[in-house]
Amino acid sequence: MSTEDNSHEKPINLTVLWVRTEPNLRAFVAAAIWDVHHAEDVLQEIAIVVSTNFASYDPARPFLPWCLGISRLKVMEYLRSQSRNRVVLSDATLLSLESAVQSLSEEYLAARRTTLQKCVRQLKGRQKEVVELRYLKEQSIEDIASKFATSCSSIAVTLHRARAALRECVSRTLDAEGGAS
Amino acid sequence: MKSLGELFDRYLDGDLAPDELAELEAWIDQDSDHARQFIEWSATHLDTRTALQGNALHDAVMHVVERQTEVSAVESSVGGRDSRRFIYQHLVTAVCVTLLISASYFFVQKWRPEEPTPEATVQLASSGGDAKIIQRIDCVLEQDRWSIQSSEFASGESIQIAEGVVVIEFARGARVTLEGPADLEILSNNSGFLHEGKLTAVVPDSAIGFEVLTPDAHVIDHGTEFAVRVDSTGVSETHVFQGEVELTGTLAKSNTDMRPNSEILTAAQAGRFEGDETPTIKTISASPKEFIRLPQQADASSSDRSNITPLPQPSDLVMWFEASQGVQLDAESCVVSWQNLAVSDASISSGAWQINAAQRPFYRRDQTANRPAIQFQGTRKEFLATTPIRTSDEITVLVVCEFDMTPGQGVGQVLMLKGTGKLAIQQERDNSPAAQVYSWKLKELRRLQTATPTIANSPLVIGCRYSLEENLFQLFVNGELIAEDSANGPIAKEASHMIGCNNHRTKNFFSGSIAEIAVYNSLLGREKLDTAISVLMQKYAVRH
Repeated sequence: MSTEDNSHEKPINLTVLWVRTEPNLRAFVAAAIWDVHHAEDVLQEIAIVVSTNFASYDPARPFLPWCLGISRLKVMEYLRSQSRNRVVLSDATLLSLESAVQSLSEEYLAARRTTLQKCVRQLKGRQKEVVELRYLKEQSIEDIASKFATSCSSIAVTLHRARAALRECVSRTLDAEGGAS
Repeated sequence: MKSLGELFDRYLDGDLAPDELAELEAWIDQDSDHARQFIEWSATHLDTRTALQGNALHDAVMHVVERQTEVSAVESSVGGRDSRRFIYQHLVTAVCVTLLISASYFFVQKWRPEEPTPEATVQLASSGGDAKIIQRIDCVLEQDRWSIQSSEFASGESIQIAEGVVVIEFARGARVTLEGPADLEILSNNSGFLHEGKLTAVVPDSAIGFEVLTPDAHVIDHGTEFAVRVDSTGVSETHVFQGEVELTGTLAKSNTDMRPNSEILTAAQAGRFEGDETPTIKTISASPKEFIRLPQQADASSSDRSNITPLPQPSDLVMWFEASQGVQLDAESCVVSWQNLAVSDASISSGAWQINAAQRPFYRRDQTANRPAIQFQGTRKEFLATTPIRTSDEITVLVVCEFDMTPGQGVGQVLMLKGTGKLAIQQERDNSPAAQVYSWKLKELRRLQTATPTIANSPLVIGCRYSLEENLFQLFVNGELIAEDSANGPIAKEASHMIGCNNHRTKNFFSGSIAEIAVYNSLLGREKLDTAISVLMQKYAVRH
């Protein structure tokens, strides 16, 4: 096969491999970086590094572990930059998470994401508003409390209940659909 | 104790105190199911924003579609040209809706093809071992003392070496040369715990982040080659040969005020922790010669490619050692390994090795015609053992060497090819060169020897042709046919051959120096043999 043919196939293979792997990488980054904005940024950086280094990837080996190695480095870079200002997960716990994320199937993680989109629609009232302000508008607990003229602890409780409700909804729906991993 | 859900939510808001984070980490690390649950909850947290964005986008687009439909329904009543405009606008809107919904995710399942191509097959779960032994070098594994074990290892299993070297390949591509005595526990497909011993790691891009844990440290590779040794008390040292590593002390977790002592080590740097109360990193110079590395990673300064010999028919070479090429030295300038130039496949190392430091021959840079040579003193029982190399019943051997004329010394075997019959090139008691073949099958020894002793401190080019098919056994010295006889049975075999002693490593230790060895798995024709000998004699200034 000519070099030209190989170069045409490589981008297609990367896309296919990335689509299959991204749910697990996303889950790992989400577990390590609680700030959703930064988590998305790090995930973008990981995608760039994976794409840039894809020529060095050995297709005989599993793609996910290769990507996870890159992901862990990028996560650790970010955590090191944050460690002076806030507490971050230890290297040992990151290892535990990296090992655990490989045991989750991408179909299961993708199904959770799809199910979540339906569950989010089921949020009502104050929970819906607080979640939208926190996640879409990226407002702090203090700002949200100020908007609703209530205490931070009250908003924290509302947020906690909304998150718990979403987690419960996703699990219940997947169990009902037989979509557990 | 706060509920786990509360702890987790406060983690999501960056609101945990150090001791609370430690509590959460302890829960995660306690059980893999906990780790999975933490990941699922975290993924839900991250995906909530995306789900909200997707729903908002979907709602906005559908509103546009509904509006467009209403407008277009009114326009269609006008008919004709306006109908075509309605259809066009509706199509454009439908395309935009599809694109916008798709763009609401970073990578969307809808783009996944129906049938995966063979190249796209992704193995998410580990189906085999996390590490496997790909090469053994004169090695005794503890687990093999009493039974034959698998060479694949899963997480939690240990590789324990009594002596020798093994080359281990982790599933993500990192290659580790482990030198016994050693105990390496496999932690994952890209990490291990070195309880005791020495290892060298070469980490390709696919294994970035390869980690080695020791009793007092945690080493994370940032690429590309480093070594770690742990002594019997658990004290470790990390040496970096290429790239950089992150070295961290294994202190208490983040529920203390003290952050782990961590430092980046770059090439030529080494580090170890000192101090009992608060261990700190002491940085020293790296010592590559204290570690055994695979020959292709040997110190480039000891190889001189311009000295390689233009031997005829090089494709038939099965063994080729040249003292200016691929020699790995230890700190005492003794030979650890000698690369077999006849093997071009770099995936597996082929060479001659001496794992035991006390029995390593010396390396002399200006020995034979001012060229490098490997020097054997005999009294220290030095020898080198090759990795398994297959020889045939049609063979041509060329050796360039010098004999030490030590009075009273016994037979010294320069090269011993261990086959079904054993062929040896050796120095006799009277310091004359000889070749002999011993046949186990025929219980017969045939020896070819010159009646003329060699000149002291003068290099020799010894040649030997052996052919079972042509029933031929010949000895040449400096281009002259000295003696010949008929063949003495088959000698072909894949085995570890010896340089400098007998096949059992117990006697006939050679005293002298060896500059070059070339073994063909074919019978070189007389003309090509003469060419090869002539080339070697010219190279090493050998007189007729």
